[in-house]
Amino acid sequence: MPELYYESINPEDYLQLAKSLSSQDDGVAKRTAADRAYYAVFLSGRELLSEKGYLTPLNSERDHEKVVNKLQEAKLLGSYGSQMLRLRLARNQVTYNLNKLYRQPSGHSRSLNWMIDAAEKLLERIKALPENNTS
Amino acid sequence: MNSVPIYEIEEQDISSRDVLSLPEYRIANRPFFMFGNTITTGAVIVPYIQDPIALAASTTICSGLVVLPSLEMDSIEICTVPAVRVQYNNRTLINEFLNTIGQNLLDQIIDLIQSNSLRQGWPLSYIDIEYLEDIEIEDWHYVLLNLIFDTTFEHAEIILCQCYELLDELSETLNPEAQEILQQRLYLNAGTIL
Repeated sequence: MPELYYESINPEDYLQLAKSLSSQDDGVAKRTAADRAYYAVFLSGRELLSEKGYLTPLNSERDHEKVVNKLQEAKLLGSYGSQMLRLRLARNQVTYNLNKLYRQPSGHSRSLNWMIDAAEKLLERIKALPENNTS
Repeated sequence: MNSVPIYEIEEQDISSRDVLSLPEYRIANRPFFMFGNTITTGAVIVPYIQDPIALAASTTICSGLVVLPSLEMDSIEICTVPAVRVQYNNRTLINEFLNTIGQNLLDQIIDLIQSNSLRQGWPLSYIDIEYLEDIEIEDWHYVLLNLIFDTTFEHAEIILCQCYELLDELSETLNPEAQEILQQRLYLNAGTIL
């Protein structure tokens, strides 16, 4: 039997981890929480869209684009799917910009509370999507 | 019928006003008309209107007049209000990325947001349009319409959701090619100047 490195996971659990980390008064914990909030909805969304017959994942980095674009389709979330890209843009800031992040008019940074809330709401809507019977 | 003399309005000094203070010009619940990139509001000046009305004369985005024919001429005044400012971040790339159909669609979306902003009294200060390349994913590009509001972030988020609904209604009227551009290249975002 090969050595087990990682257990399988339910990506939705990342959201619980994000909430837990968000209460810590620590920049690293908060950024990790923000990153996990995005991944919770991206990975769960990808799996759910696949299970419901909307998407064939590539299991690569291209899936980020596929999930965002798929969600914007009229029969899925429509324009509300923009929330997924907003979440991603906020996550990109948190992950790659190590400087202090402020709210700016056209900036992409968002508060951790907003990110967790957006992830929860997106996940709720994706779960509520019916099975795709047209493909 | 009572009316407000025109000269009282024209004497207001608007030369020093910043474009970001556009909500001051907005006349809530007035009929509006659009000519290309221009929004024109017919304002009925009668005693029960308490709000001060400023005539904003912008040479670039404001033109055209509307007469409300059902009213007596001595009871109406025509005034125009500037459309919300739109700024582009790298317009050349945006145009190349969207192609002609996408550019027309972008103009439609801007008109839709501007007209609804005027009609519903949104505290929309300006629209900032940017072309972005994803930081991680190669060759993933998109255009982001940042709607910048002069209000709280929470309120801006509520209005953004109303804009999502407007775009969904618009989407139903589009041909498949334009729909695809809307779904895969254009995204809405909200920000605040506060």
